[in-house]
Amino acid sequence: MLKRLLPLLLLVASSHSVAKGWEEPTTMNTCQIGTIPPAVFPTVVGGAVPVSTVNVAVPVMCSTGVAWSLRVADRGLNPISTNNRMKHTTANQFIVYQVRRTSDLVQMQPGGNAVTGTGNGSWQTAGISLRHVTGNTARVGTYTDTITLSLVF
Amino acid sequence: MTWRCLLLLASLAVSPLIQANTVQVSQEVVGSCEFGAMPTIVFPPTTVPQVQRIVSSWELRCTAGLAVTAQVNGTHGTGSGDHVLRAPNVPATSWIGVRVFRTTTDTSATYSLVNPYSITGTGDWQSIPIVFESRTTAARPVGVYSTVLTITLIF
Repeated sequence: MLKRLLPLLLLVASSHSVAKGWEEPTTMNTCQIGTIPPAVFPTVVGGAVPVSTVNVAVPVMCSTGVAWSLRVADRGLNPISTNNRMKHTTANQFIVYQVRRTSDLVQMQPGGNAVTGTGNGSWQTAGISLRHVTGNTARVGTYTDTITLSLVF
Repeated sequence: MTWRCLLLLASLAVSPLIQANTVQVSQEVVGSCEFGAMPTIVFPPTTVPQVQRIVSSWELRCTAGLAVTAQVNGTHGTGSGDHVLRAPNVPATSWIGVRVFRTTTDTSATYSLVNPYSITGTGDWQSIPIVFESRTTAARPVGVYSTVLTITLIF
Protein backbone atom coordinates (compact mmCIF):
# COMPACT_ATOMS: atom_id res chain seq x y z
CA MET A 1 0.00 0.00 0.00
CA LEU A 2 2.75 2.37 0.97
CA LYS A 3 4.53 1.51 -2.24
CA ARG A 4 1.42 2.44 -4.20
CA LEU A 5 0.96 5.69 -2.36
CA LEU A 6 4.59 6.71 -2.37
CA PRO A 7 4.62 8.13 -5.89
CA LEU A 8 1.51 10.15 -5.15
CA LEU A 9 2.94 11.44 -1.87
CA LEU A 10 6.12 12.38 -3.64
CA LEU A 11 4.09 14.15 -6.28
CA VAL A 12 2.11 16.06 -3.68
CA ALA A 13 5.28 17.01 -1.87
CA SER A 14 6.88 17.96 -5.14
CA SER A 15 3.92 19.98 -6.38
CA HIS A 16 3.74 21.75 -3.06
CA SER A 17 7.34 22.72 -3.31
CA VAL A 18 6.78 23.77 -6.92
CA ALA A 19 3.83 25.83 -5.86
CA LYS A 20 5.86 27.53 -3.18
CA GLY A 21 8.59 28.04 -5.72
CA TRP A 22 6.08 29.82 -8.04
CA GLU A 23 4.55 31.96 -5.37
CA GLU A 24 7.35 34.42 -5.07
CA PRO A 25 7.76 35.18 -8.78
CA THR A 26 3.98 35.36 -9.15
CA THR A 27 3.62 37.95 -6.44
CA MET A 28 6.49 39.92 -7.88
CA ASN A 29 5.37 39.70 -11.49
CA THR A 30 2.27 41.79 -11.17
CA CYS A 31 0.59 44.27 -13.43
CA GLN A 32 -2.17 46.75 -12.94
CA ILE A 33 -4.20 49.20 -14.98
CA GLY A 34 -4.41 52.65 -13.50
CA THR A 35 -7.33 55.04 -13.65
CA ILE A 36 -8.28 55.54 -17.27
CA PRO A 37 -9.37 59.06 -18.18
CA PRO A 38 -12.75 59.31 -19.94
CA ALA A 39 -12.66 59.46 -23.71
CA VAL A 40 -14.64 62.50 -24.77
CA PHE A 41 -15.22 63.20 -28.42
CA PRO A 42 -15.47 66.86 -29.44
CA THR A 43 -18.87 68.48 -29.08
CA VAL A 44 -20.57 68.87 -32.45
CA VAL A 45 -23.73 70.41 -33.83
CA GLY A 46 -26.52 67.98 -34.66
CA GLY A 47 -26.46 66.50 -38.14
CA ALA A 48 -23.53 64.93 -39.93
CA VAL A 49 -20.86 64.00 -37.40
CA PRO A 50 -17.37 64.88 -38.59
CA VAL A 51 -14.88 62.06 -38.15
CA SER A 52 -12.60 62.70 -35.21
CA THR A 53 -10.18 60.73 -33.10
CA VAL A 54 -9.73 60.69 -29.35
CA ASN A 55 -6.47 59.34 -27.98
CA VAL A 56 -6.53 57.63 -24.61
CA ALA A 57 -3.38 56.93 -22.62
CA VAL A 58 -4.09 53.85 -20.53
CA PRO A 59 -1.77 53.73 -17.49
CA VAL A 60 -0.13 50.34 -17.08
CA MET A 61 2.39 49.28 -14.46
CA CYS A 62 4.11 45.90 -14.51
CA SER A 63 7.05 44.38 -12.75
CA THR A 64 10.30 44.70 -14.57
CA GLY A 65 10.61 42.27 -17.44
CA VAL A 66 6.97 41.19 -17.45
CA ALA A 67 5.51 41.14 -20.94
CA TRP A 68 2.01 42.63 -21.07
CA SER A 69 -0.62 43.16 -23.68
CA LEU A 70 -3.61 45.45 -23.49
CA ARG A 71 -6.67 44.21 -25.35
CA VAL A 72 -10.30 45.16 -25.75
CA ALA A 73 -12.50 42.65 -23.95
CA ASP A 74 -15.67 43.68 -25.77
CA ARG A 75 -17.10 46.08 -28.31
CA GLY A 76 -18.77 48.20 -25.67
CA LEU A 77 -22.39 48.21 -24.61
CA ASN A 78 -23.92 48.73 -28.07
CA PRO A 79 -21.88 46.72 -30.55
CA ILE A 80 -22.79 46.48 -34.19
CA SER A 81 -20.94 44.22 -36.57
CA THR A 82 -17.25 44.83 -35.83
CA ASN A 83 -17.78 48.34 -34.47
CA ASN A 84 -18.69 50.08 -31.24
CA ARG A 85 -21.52 52.54 -30.79
CA MET A 86 -22.29 55.31 -28.36
CA LYS A 87 -25.99 55.46 -27.55
CA HIS A 88 -28.17 58.52 -27.05
CA THR A 89 -29.14 58.72 -23.39
CA THR A 90 -32.87 58.63 -24.15
CA ALA A 91 -33.47 57.95 -27.84
CA ASN A 92 -32.55 54.91 -29.89
CA GLN A 93 -29.86 56.85 -31.74
CA PHE A 94 -26.22 55.88 -32.10
CA ILE A 95 -22.81 57.17 -33.13
CA VAL A 96 -20.55 54.44 -34.51
CA TYR A 97 -16.83 54.34 -33.75
CA GLN A 98 -13.90 51.97 -33.57
CA VAL A 99 -11.15 51.29 -31.06
CA ARG A 100 -7.72 51.42 -32.63
CA ARG A 101 -4.11 51.08 -31.57
CA THR A 102 -2.66 54.58 -31.40
CA SER A 103 0.72 53.50 -32.75
CA ASP A 104 -0.54 52.35 -36.14
CA LEU A 105 -4.32 52.95 -36.02
CA VAL A 106 -5.02 49.26 -36.56
CA GLN A 107 -8.45 48.38 -35.25
CA MET A 108 -8.52 46.46 -31.99
CA GLN A 109 -11.16 43.82 -31.53
CA PRO A 110 -11.78 41.17 -28.87
CA GLY A 111 -9.24 38.42 -29.39
CA GLY A 112 -7.43 40.49 -31.98
CA ASN A 113 -4.71 43.11 -32.05
CA ALA A 114 -3.29 44.33 -28.77
CA VAL A 115 -1.02 47.04 -27.47
CA THR A 116 2.01 45.27 -26.07
CA GLY A 117 4.93 46.19 -23.86
CA THR A 118 7.34 45.02 -21.23
CA GLY A 119 7.13 46.18 -17.65
CA ASN A 120 9.83 48.33 -16.08
CA GLY A 121 8.41 48.70 -12.59
CA SER A 122 7.07 52.16 -13.34
CA TRP A 123 3.90 53.52 -14.90
CA GLN A 124 3.81 53.21 -18.63
CA THR A 125 1.08 54.14 -21.09
CA ALA A 126 -0.71 51.98 -23.62
CA GLY A 127 -2.13 54.14 -26.34
CA ILE A 128 -5.55 53.44 -27.76
CA SER A 129 -7.53 55.67 -30.07
CA LEU A 130 -11.25 55.94 -30.59
CA ARG A 131 -12.27 57.03 -34.05
CA HIS A 132 -15.63 57.64 -35.68
CA VAL A 133 -16.52 55.68 -38.75
CA THR A 134 -17.63 57.84 -41.65
CA GLY A 135 -21.27 58.61 -42.30
CA ASN A 136 -22.58 59.20 -38.78
CA THR A 137 -25.49 61.55 -38.37
CA ALA A 138 -26.69 62.40 -34.90
CA ARG A 139 -29.53 64.19 -33.24
CA VAL A 140 -28.94 66.57 -30.36
CA GLY A 141 -28.16 64.88 -27.06
CA THR A 142 -25.54 63.02 -25.07
CA TYR A 143 -24.14 59.77 -26.41
CA THR A 144 -22.23 57.34 -24.19
CA ASP A 145 -20.61 53.94 -24.17
CA THR A 146 -18.38 51.86 -21.89
CA ILE A 147 -15.56 49.68 -23.15
CA THR A 148 -13.81 47.04 -21.08
CA LEU A 149 -10.05 46.63 -21.49
CA SER A 150 -8.04 43.62 -20.38
CA LEU A 151 -4.41 43.68 -19.40
CA VAL A 152 -2.96 40.21 -19.98
CA PHE A 153 0.44 39.31 -18.54
CA MET B 1 -3.87 9.85 -11.80
CA THR B 2 -0.33 11.03 -11.53
CA TRP B 3 -0.29 12.03 -15.18
CA ARG B 4 -3.48 14.02 -14.81
CA CYS B 5 -2.07 15.87 -11.84
CA LEU B 6 1.04 16.76 -13.77
CA LEU B 7 -1.04 18.11 -16.61
CA LEU B 8 -2.99 20.25 -14.21
CA LEU B 9 0.17 21.67 -12.73
CA ALA B 10 1.52 22.48 -16.15
CA SER B 11 -1.71 24.22 -17.02
CA LEU B 12 -1.68 26.32 -13.90
CA ALA B 13 1.86 27.34 -14.53
CA VAL B 14 1.18 28.92 -17.92
CA SER B 15 -2.22 30.53 -17.32
CA PRO B 16 -1.96 34.27 -17.97
CA LEU B 17 -3.15 36.75 -15.43
CA ILE B 18 -5.66 39.37 -16.43
CA GLN B 19 -6.56 42.76 -15.07
CA ALA B 20 -9.56 44.61 -16.41
CA ASN B 21 -10.75 48.18 -16.38
CA THR B 22 -13.27 50.25 -18.28
CA VAL B 23 -13.18 53.33 -20.45
CA GLN B 24 -16.10 55.76 -20.41
CA VAL B 25 -16.77 57.12 -23.89
CA SER B 26 -19.03 60.07 -24.61
CA GLN B 27 -19.91 62.80 -27.06
CA GLU B 28 -22.22 65.77 -26.85
CA VAL B 29 -24.29 66.77 -29.85
CA VAL B 30 -25.77 70.23 -29.45
CA GLY B 31 -28.15 72.56 -31.21
CA SER B 32 -31.45 74.32 -30.70
CA CYS B 33 -34.27 75.91 -32.66
CA GLU B 34 -37.04 78.38 -32.05
CA PHE B 35 -40.16 79.16 -34.02
CA GLY B 36 -40.97 82.62 -35.25
CA ALA B 37 -44.14 83.84 -36.90
CA MET B 38 -46.53 81.15 -38.08
CA PRO B 39 -49.10 81.75 -40.81
CA THR B 40 -52.86 81.63 -40.72
CA ILE B 41 -54.22 80.32 -43.97
CA VAL B 42 -57.69 81.25 -45.17
CA PHE B 43 -58.94 79.83 -48.44
CA PRO B 44 -61.41 82.04 -50.35
CA PRO B 45 -65.06 81.20 -49.81
CA THR B 46 -66.50 78.97 -52.48
CA THR B 47 -69.85 77.43 -53.28
CA VAL B 48 -68.28 74.32 -54.77
CA PRO B 49 -65.07 72.97 -53.27
CA GLN B 50 -62.17 73.12 -55.68
CA VAL B 51 -58.46 72.53 -55.63
CA GLN B 52 -56.75 75.69 -54.43
CA ARG B 53 -53.20 76.37 -53.35
CA ILE B 54 -51.91 79.11 -51.07
CA VAL B 55 -48.22 79.87 -50.88
CA SER B 56 -47.00 80.91 -47.46
CA SER B 57 -44.03 80.61 -45.13
CA TRP B 58 -43.09 80.16 -41.52
CA GLU B 59 -40.07 81.30 -39.57
CA LEU B 60 -37.40 79.33 -37.87
CA ARG B 61 -34.07 80.03 -36.25
CA CYS B 62 -31.70 77.14 -35.55
CA THR B 63 -28.08 76.76 -34.55
CA ALA B 64 -25.80 77.18 -37.53
CA GLY B 65 -25.16 73.84 -39.18
CA LEU B 66 -27.85 72.00 -37.25
CA ALA B 67 -29.69 69.45 -39.37
CA VAL B 68 -33.42 69.68 -38.77
CA THR B 69 -36.34 67.85 -40.26
CA ALA B 70 -39.81 69.32 -40.16
CA GLN B 71 -43.05 67.46 -40.54
CA VAL B 72 -46.66 68.54 -40.32
CA ASN B 73 -49.41 66.76 -38.47
CA GLY B 74 -53.07 67.66 -38.31
CA THR B 75 -55.17 67.62 -35.17
CA HIS B 76 -57.93 65.76 -37.02
CA GLY B 77 -55.87 63.00 -38.53
CA THR B 78 -55.59 62.00 -42.14
CA GLY B 79 -58.22 61.31 -44.75
CA SER B 80 -57.93 59.47 -48.03
CA GLY B 81 -54.21 59.05 -48.43
CA ASP B 82 -51.65 59.39 -45.70
CA HIS B 83 -50.80 62.94 -46.65
CA VAL B 84 -54.26 64.41 -46.69
CA LEU B 85 -54.99 66.20 -43.43
CA ARG B 86 -58.60 66.63 -42.38
CA ALA B 87 -60.19 70.04 -41.91
CA PRO B 88 -63.68 69.36 -40.51
CA ASN B 89 -66.61 71.72 -40.24
CA VAL B 90 -68.29 72.55 -36.93
CA PRO B 91 -69.97 70.43 -35.75
CA ALA B 92 -67.87 67.85 -37.52
CA THR B 93 -70.15 66.26 -40.07
CA SER B 94 -67.82 66.51 -43.02
CA TRP B 95 -64.30 67.55 -43.87
CA ILE B 96 -62.13 68.97 -46.57
CA GLY B 97 -58.74 67.43 -47.34
CA VAL B 98 -55.64 69.56 -47.10
CA ARG B 99 -52.19 68.72 -48.39
CA VAL B 100 -48.95 70.47 -47.51
CA PHE B 101 -46.09 71.03 -49.93
CA ARG B 102 -42.73 72.69 -49.88
CA THR B 103 -43.10 74.42 -53.25
CA THR B 104 -45.80 75.06 -55.78
CA THR B 105 -44.14 72.62 -58.14
CA ASP B 106 -44.28 69.68 -55.73
CA THR B 107 -46.52 66.94 -56.97
CA SER B 108 -46.44 64.71 -53.91
CA ALA B 109 -47.17 65.86 -50.40
CA THR B 110 -44.17 66.96 -48.41
CA TYR B 111 -43.65 67.82 -44.76
CA SER B 112 -45.04 64.35 -44.19
CA LEU B 113 -43.75 61.49 -42.10
CA VAL B 114 -42.38 59.77 -45.17
CA ASN B 115 -41.06 62.92 -46.77
CA PRO B 116 -40.10 65.41 -44.07
CA TYR B 117 -38.66 68.79 -44.93
CA SER B 118 -34.89 68.89 -44.35
CA ILE B 119 -33.49 72.22 -43.17
CA THR B 120 -30.01 73.24 -42.11
CA GLY B 121 -29.79 75.93 -39.47
CA THR B 122 -27.96 79.14 -40.22
CA GLY B 123 -28.01 80.79 -36.83
CA ASP B 124 -30.32 83.45 -38.26
CA TRP B 125 -34.03 83.58 -38.86
CA GLN B 126 -35.05 81.63 -41.93
CA SER B 127 -38.26 81.91 -43.83
CA ILE B 128 -39.33 78.39 -44.75
CA PRO B 129 -41.71 78.03 -47.65
CA ILE B 130 -44.91 76.07 -47.23
CA VAL B 131 -47.78 75.55 -49.63
CA PHE B 132 -51.27 74.54 -48.56
CA GLU B 133 -53.61 72.82 -50.94
CA SER B 134 -57.32 72.42 -50.40
CA ARG B 135 -58.02 69.40 -52.49
CA THR B 136 -61.61 68.27 -51.96
CA THR B 137 -63.78 68.84 -55.03
CA ALA B 138 -66.92 66.99 -54.04
CA ALA B 139 -69.90 68.90 -52.68
CA ARG B 140 -69.80 69.73 -49.00
CA PRO B 141 -72.35 71.12 -46.51
CA VAL B 142 -72.26 74.84 -46.04
CA GLY B 143 -70.06 75.81 -43.13
CA VAL B 144 -66.61 76.72 -41.97
CA TYR B 145 -63.95 74.05 -42.25
CA SER B 146 -60.82 74.44 -40.21
CA THR B 147 -57.96 72.64 -38.59
CA VAL B 148 -54.78 73.36 -36.71
CA LEU B 149 -51.64 71.93 -38.24
CA THR B 150 -48.58 71.35 -36.11
CA ILE B 151 -45.03 71.56 -37.39
CA THR B 152 -42.75 69.23 -35.49
CA LEU B 153 -39.01 69.74 -35.63
CA ILE B 154 -36.67 66.79 -35.19
CA PHE B 155 -33.02 67.51 -34.49
